[in-house]
Amino acid sequence: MKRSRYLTPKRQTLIWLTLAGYAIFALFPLIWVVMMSFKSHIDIISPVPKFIFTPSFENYKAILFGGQSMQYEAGQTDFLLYFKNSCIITISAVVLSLLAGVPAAYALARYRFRFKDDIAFTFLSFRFAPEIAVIIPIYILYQKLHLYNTYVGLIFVYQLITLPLIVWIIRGYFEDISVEIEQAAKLDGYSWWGVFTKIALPLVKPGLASTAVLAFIFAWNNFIFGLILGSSDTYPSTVGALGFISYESVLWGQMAAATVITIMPPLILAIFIQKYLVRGLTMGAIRG
Amino acid sequence: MSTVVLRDVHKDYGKVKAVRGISFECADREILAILGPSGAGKTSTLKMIAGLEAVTRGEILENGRLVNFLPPEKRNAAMVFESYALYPHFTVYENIAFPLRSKSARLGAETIDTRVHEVAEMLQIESLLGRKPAELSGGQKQRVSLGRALAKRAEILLLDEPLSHLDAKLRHHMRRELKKYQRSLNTTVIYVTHDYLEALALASKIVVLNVGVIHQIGTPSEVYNNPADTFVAALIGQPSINLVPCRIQIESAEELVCISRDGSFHVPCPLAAEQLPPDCREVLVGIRPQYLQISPNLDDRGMAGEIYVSEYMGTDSIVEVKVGDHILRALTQEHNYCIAQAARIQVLKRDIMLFDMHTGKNLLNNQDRVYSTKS
Repeated sequence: MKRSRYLTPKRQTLIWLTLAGYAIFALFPLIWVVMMSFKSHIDIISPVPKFIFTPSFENYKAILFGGQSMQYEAGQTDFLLYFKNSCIITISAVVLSLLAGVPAAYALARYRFRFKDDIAFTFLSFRFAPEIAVIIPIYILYQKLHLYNTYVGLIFVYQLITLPLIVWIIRGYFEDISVEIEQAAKLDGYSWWGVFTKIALPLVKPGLASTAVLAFIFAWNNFIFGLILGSSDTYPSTVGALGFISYESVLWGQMAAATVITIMPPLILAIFIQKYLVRGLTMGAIRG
Repeated sequence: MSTVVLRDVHKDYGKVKAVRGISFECADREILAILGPSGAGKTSTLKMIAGLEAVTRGEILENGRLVNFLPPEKRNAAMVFESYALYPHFTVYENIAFPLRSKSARLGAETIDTRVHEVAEMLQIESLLGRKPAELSGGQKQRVSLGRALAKRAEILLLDEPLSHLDAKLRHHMRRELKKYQRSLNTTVIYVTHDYLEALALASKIVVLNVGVIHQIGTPSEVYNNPADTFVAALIGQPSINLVPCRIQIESAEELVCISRDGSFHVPCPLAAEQLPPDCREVLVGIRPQYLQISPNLDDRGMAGEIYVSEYMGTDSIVEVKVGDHILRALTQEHNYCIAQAARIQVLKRDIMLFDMHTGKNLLNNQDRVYSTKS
């Protein structure tokens, strides 16, 4: 058999070793941050990296409840506010993108109209330019429009991240549905809205869930928009983590704890929808 | 009461002209078959009747009412798609109940339940009601799709190649069933197919379509026995008709001699000699394969040729004979021919067809002839 010729035990071991090596390489920074979040400041700044230490929850206590941490002052305890900001901005941005993007994706998948491809390309082009290239004009616009340092402003600018993703991936899912299924539903006596809600939407539901999570992760991880267009009231937690770098010292332990908490929501979501996620990522690419 | 009338209907997809001005009428409770090869515009025509495709030009009337701009949900038509188009997220029960749950149907839950079971019983799919389409075989999907269309009790039933994905045995069974349902439900049926046997067996009227143009409209026997042109003649019948370019000489009042490049053969004169069109000196002679006889005796009259291929089919064999550059197909009950064996090929004393060499039109088409239907 072909299989046995190619996957001899020796080969298999080699493959496993290579994969394990890559996994350690990729995950090490993450593991290091998690370890750091449980270390005392002394252990963190120790010149010889410490792998064995006495874990403590001091860093977590400090960022969640404030107060003194070890012999150092607790720096800032606004982390909870920033975490809340992240939740509000990201969830709202994704919901808004779904409301606007799903009908747009359907139109792009189903109808023929003038400039269709140009419109689709424009959506995609939002993802081409680095955010830093457009941030100064947006900053000035936001100052004039009084959108600077507001949730609405940030939710709006986050559409640059979430909307193209949702439009392009969901479009692929809609294109996957046979036109004849929708035609059958029309002949069965349903109006456009009936066909859309009873047939098209339920059929793309798995794609919708995974794409929403994907958009959530991208938006959650954004740093630059919050940094420039927000202020201490509206900073998301990615920007908030900067606050641990103070004039005197860097509160590495608290920063690590904040990072660990911040990566939790996307991590949990990603694990739940892992199965659909890969499909969601490849789908728009193959079709359309 | 439901009739469908098409008047000079066109359908363009951008620059592609799928349907180029077709007109036909489908009477109440008639089974009309639209027959044609792929790309003929059959499905486009059906979808225009259903309201799923816009009509580029022309008129479609249903029950005497112009319906060009009536959306599909407002037309009283049901359709079975070639792809079945079942709703993958619904069970079989939900699929069949779906048209009954629409706003326009206005049916109570009990009526819906009764109707679903009624249809399921008729189609013998009761045991499948709880399954999802993905768990069904092709034949089962086909029946569910038909069930969904029948449950609606529409006046017009549109069928798009509903049997093409079934195996031969099930196809024959479903053909009979379809005819039975149509009679019991009193619906008007428009049936699209590329299989001439389905059209002949089911329909009371056949519309032969090719690249968006109608070649002939007629009853099954008209289309079979008196094809309008070589296209229709070649489309209908398996193995397909032999078309031999010949020069014609009138031998006597009853007999013609057809002289081809590779030999001549005698056929009965289809018309009185003086009634033959004047332009039929150089023609294509159409001979059904069952009217050809192969004789191993080389002294016989007829064209000389050699056996090219012989396919054993049980009662008959399809024998292809190479005569000059031509391959002639014969359906015979003699089975023991060897490839490359020399043979004479003769035409049985049966009807032949004469087609114009250039336009392919049937030269005898407009004459009233009595056709022998025995083969």
